[in-house]
Amino acid sequence: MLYPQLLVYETDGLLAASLRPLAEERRWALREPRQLGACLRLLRRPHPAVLVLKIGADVIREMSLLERVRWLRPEAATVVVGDVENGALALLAWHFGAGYVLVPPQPRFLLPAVIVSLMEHSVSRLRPAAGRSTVGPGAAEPLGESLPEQEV
Amino acid sequence: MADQSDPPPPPRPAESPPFRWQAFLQHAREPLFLLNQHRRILGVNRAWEELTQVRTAAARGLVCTPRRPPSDQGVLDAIAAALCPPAEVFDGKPARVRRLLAGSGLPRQRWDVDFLPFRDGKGRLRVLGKISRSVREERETSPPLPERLAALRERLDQRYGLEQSVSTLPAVQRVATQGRLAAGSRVPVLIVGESGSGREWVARSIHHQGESRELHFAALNCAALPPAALASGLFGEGRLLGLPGVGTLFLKEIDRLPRDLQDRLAAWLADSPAAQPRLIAATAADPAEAVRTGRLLESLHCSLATLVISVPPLRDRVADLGWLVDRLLERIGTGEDKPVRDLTPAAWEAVKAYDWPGNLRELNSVLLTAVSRTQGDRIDVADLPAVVRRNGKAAAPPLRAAPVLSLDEILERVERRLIEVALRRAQGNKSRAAELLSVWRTRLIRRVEALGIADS
Repeated sequence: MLYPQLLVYETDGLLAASLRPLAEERRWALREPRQLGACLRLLRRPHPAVLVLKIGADVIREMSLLERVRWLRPEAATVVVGDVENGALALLAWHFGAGYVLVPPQPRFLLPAVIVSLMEHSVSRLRPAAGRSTVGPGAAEPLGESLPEQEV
Repeated sequence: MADQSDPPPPPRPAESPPFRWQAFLQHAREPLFLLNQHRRILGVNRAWEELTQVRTAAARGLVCTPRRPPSDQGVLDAIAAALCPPAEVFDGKPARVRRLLAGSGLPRQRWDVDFLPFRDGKGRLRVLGKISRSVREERETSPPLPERLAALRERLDQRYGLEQSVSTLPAVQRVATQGRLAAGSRVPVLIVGESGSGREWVARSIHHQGESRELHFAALNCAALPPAALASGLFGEGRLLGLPGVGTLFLKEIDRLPRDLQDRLAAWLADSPAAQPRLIAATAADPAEAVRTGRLLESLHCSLATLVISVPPLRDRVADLGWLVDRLLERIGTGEDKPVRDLTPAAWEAVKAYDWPGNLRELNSVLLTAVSRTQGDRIDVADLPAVVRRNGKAAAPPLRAAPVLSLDEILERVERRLIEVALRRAQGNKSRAAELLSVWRTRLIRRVEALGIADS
């Protein structure tokens, strides 16, 4: 079963802490990669995923991540969040393929709704060809399956 | 699982919609003219009239050659000679020349004249010409980017050249031609194609080949974002419409934009000043059907459909699968120690036989999964998902022996599977799931956390 992944890339853990209740309520796996490589490895998995990227600490690194995600997994949605108004940076994030940019004056209160909507869209697009049964309510299956099936 | 409200895929058109060059000319704000294969002017637009002070009636029929029979129409002679296309244009190659245009009302200076050849619906050669100032207009731009960011942006921008499509399929070549036409102007564009077929790639290519390539590209997915976010992004304080620095705004699944926002967008298109982001929209639905059922406002459709580009689905591009897979594997393998570069013959047969309802996006996803599974340097048919293998015409190969697992790994797999099934049966209710499994609820919660299980 491919569970949805909410990836939060930031330096201080504050954004992830604020999103943890949302992830728990929705039963998403909340991941907090601290390295670019770890983040990309998580995104290589076929799970539906939304990446929330906090920008401002290291713009080069953050834009590099955005550019790599766009290239490697274009269907993964990214939300770029910033604390300080910076129109140039916001435009750059859009250009590098962010699914949405919440940098002031864009209101931060939109963040949960944006994440939920992007994740639901990502889940709805997941097809059986990705390798596993899709996420979400599926057909009832008998309990008591003894061994895992050969991966299909 | 497909979203139930997703529109059904559009019926395959017998041919792409005809290029409405009259509407294209009239909607464009740049001075444009259209020539036939005999260099005769078929039409000009209002901007051309205003620039040259020559009315359409006088321009139509002019033959643009370096030497014209003597006549008393000196101004027309000079303009016709200045707009003569170089020879390579009639071999299908776009060209740009710098010409001195002179005439009553026309500032005497050098102008850039672009020539874009294309074939109309009847296969006749036509040439679209555009006149623009040689001195680039001053634009309000952001401060120069730091060098590393500029290099990063350059790397991204280089991926979107229309010439990079090596396909020989007529439908794909038509997309490239129409894309070049679109890049030569700022008219709105409507891209029609199934989800995952490469519509955003086409939109970005148009942006990166156009005059506003130095400005930014922004995309909003109207099907994936909540209405409040769409409203804020389009018309709010940080709105993308009218923001300096945005060269192209791409609205995906435009028929999923809420009705009131479609209304506002249509009004904005009608009233917007010349300095605007260029609008490109995409839909997976049949536009005419979307208008008929009310999903797409007719006024908005009329504004967007000046130039319609139909992107073929992947199942109609079997001949392209080879180089597409190569490119995707190269992309996936970037940065990996042992990149996977190829497929076995059996895997290739399965890939070619599969219908690819998810198009390029699905192909990328399948290859990502297969690369993570393969134990060699080639993807084998056993590495492909079952749905791809099942639809393949090749005989199913013997399943590979499962890798040897430790007892702990086997037990963990079994436990994970049982918990997932129980949670699904209980619709996420852990108390009920625990009852089904005959365990305490607290134990179930501990195991869910330890195994990293997330259920819906």
